[in-house]
Amino acid sequence: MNNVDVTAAVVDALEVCQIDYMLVGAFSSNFYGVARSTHDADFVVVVNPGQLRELVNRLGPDYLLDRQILVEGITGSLRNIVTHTPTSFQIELFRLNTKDEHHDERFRRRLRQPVAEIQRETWLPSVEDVVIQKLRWKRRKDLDDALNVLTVSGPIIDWTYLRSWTTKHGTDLLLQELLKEVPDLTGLEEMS
Amino acid sequence: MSQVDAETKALMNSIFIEKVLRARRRSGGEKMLDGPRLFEDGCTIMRSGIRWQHPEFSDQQVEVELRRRLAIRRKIDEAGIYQPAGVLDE
Repeated sequence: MNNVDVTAAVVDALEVCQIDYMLVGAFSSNFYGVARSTHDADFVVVVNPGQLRELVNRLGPDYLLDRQILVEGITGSLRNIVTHTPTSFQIELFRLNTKDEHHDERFRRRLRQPVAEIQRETWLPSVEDVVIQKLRWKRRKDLDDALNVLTVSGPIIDWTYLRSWTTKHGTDLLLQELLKEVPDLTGLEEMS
Repeated sequence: MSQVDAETKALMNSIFIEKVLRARRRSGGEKMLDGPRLFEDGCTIMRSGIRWQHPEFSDQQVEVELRRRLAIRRKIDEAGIYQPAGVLDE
């Protein structure tokens, strides 16, 4: 079993357990941008008491739930990690924090996307919400991801929506700086 | 960010544009699944590096060292972002 199989198994288990979810982090920025390596799969989930245990039970004995809960300082979301022990690939489960306006809105706007390579559909955030979230995290790799998404998916971005959140979050200047780095691709696509 | 000369900057830009054009030609799902695949490739290269540095290591020791290095990277990635918030009691 490789890391793609592990991620697909988690998607299946979430669907069977009827846990609302979306796949975030590098998986979503890769979807809309340029692929980069990732050592884990991040999911936002809405779980009732007992459902995390049910999820891990369904996944089977190769999956280990770390009971330690961590709070993520930017959105206030709580995180648990599940490790697929044969590969050490990690699944990060972030509880939806409805108190954070954008966290909540991002989940409401999630989209069902087909992933032909694994013959499945999965829930992903919108392209705008990927950029908004990356600008909030603002680590070097997040800004690289944001620039890649802005450049690859620029033509489909709802700029009014994107800017409404960057204004609220105080990340508008950061967005402007990144946009200066977006190259002009006019005419290049026909040539490539 | 360090200063780069104009020639290097032009080369970086053309590499970036090529990456973007290639990304636009591929499906989202294909790119999405490249993430864990690239990680596996990276681990293979890291294992080779560990074996080169420590030819006396068994396969199991190589894995232990690989996990140790990955844990360091995770620690750097997550520095200052997470705080403990209790233990799951379900």
